Amino acid sequence: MADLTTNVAGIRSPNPFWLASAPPTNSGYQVQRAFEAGWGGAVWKTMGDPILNVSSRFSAVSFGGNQVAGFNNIELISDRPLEVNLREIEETKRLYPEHAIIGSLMVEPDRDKWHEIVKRVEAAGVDGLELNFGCPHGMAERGMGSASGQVPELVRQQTAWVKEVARTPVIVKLTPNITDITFTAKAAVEGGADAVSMINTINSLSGVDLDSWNTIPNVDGKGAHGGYCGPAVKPIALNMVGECARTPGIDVPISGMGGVSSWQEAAEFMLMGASNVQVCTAAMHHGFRIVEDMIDGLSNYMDEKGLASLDQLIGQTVPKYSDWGDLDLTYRVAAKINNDVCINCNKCYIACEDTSHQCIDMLKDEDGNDILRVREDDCVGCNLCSIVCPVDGAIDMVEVARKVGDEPMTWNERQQLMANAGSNQ
Amino acid sequence: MKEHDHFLIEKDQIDELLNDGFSIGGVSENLEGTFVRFQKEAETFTLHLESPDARKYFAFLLKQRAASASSESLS
Repeated sequence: MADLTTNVAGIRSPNPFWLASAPPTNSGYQVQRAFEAGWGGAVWKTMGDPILNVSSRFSAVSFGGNQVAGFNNIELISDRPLEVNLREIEETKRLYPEHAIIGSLMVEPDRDKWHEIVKRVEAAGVDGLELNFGCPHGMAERGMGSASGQVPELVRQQTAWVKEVARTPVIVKLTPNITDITFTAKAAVEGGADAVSMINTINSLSGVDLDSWNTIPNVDGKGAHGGYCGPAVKPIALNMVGECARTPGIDVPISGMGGVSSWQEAAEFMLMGASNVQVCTAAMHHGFRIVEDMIDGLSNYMDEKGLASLDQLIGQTVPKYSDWGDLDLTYRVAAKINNDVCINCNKCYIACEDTSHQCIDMLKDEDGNDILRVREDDCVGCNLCSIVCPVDGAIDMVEVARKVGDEPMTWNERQQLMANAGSNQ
Repeated sequence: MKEHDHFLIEKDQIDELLNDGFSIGGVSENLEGTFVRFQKEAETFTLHLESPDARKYFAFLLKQRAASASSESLS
């Protein structure tokens, strides 16, 4: 059986599944229930000056019958006194010494304030710290959270202040509300971060009620932007993890999160370079016990792949992640419709004819039955037909054999050859 | 015209010029596509390539030419 123990910058946990800093980690009662269910670690809900919350805090986006495709919240950090949180951290650590507890912190960009909270939280026995430079709502209006996280110099400086006194590993949690997350990740590393985590939530508004014209959610008729998470944000998070993993200078472990709902997403994040994953929305949707399937699924997958430990999984896809200019322009796939499986719904034909490259013909076979056939030479391999097809196995995207003139060549190589050939002018 | 047919026409034009002894003398690109200047001694001919596959194909020829020049310089 594969070894799922995890080490993120020196923070050890029995498995790679941590609860993210969020409502599920608001109290000792919850974190202890989570550890009992099997979670390897928990990032305690962000501590700082206790805040005041509003009522009507969460909303979700459902899509195509799937509940909670995305999740939006306007809840702020912990509203409980620091001392209460620390007492419960101490108790939880005593009861579950093998599980990781990471204290999430957020204070104003002030050196003394950072020093004070770091010392007090570490004294409670946490295994590490996570600096919340990511929350996009409420706290950002006060210069904290993503307001700090969007300014590389503030990330670097505050991380450095924390490192002046921290004795446990420091994880810097980054905001996705920025053009290029590698800038702030580098700033965190320059400040001395032992690891980075991503992504925090994305600025969002779930919707507008078409009867009342109120925003969703709203507080007595008035709304404010929230933070978006859940399955819908996974592709954004996965790219950000991959970009950081492949960028020189960001040579620290990454704790990945953003739409992790099952062992499969966890494995994807780890393949893209995450040392472990954090989960929130899936736990809020289905409860703490989802971790059982996550552990079983990941363990079975690793056994099937013949992997003994997570080190053999982490980062394996990173070398395959590149710039567009380094992709082969002449590699081709084309659609192949399997008419014995096809139900003739014609969704592929309509998609191709209306919105892609018009390379599917509606024909009759020798018995007069309707069939669809792809003109391979005109197919550009966009995949759209196979994406919209409702029947598994009805459309395969198959590799097209190279012909003379199809030798591998990237855009960057082509531009270099053009430059060498000289201009017409 | 189907994209592939368009490509085949432009590929034939390129191959014909090369078979006639022309070589690629220069290339430029703008909003209208790729303009490849073929030359044979004092004679020049500019071919306007519009199809994406032809604009890949002529680059393959440049690559082939660069590879052959490189092997000649080594021998």
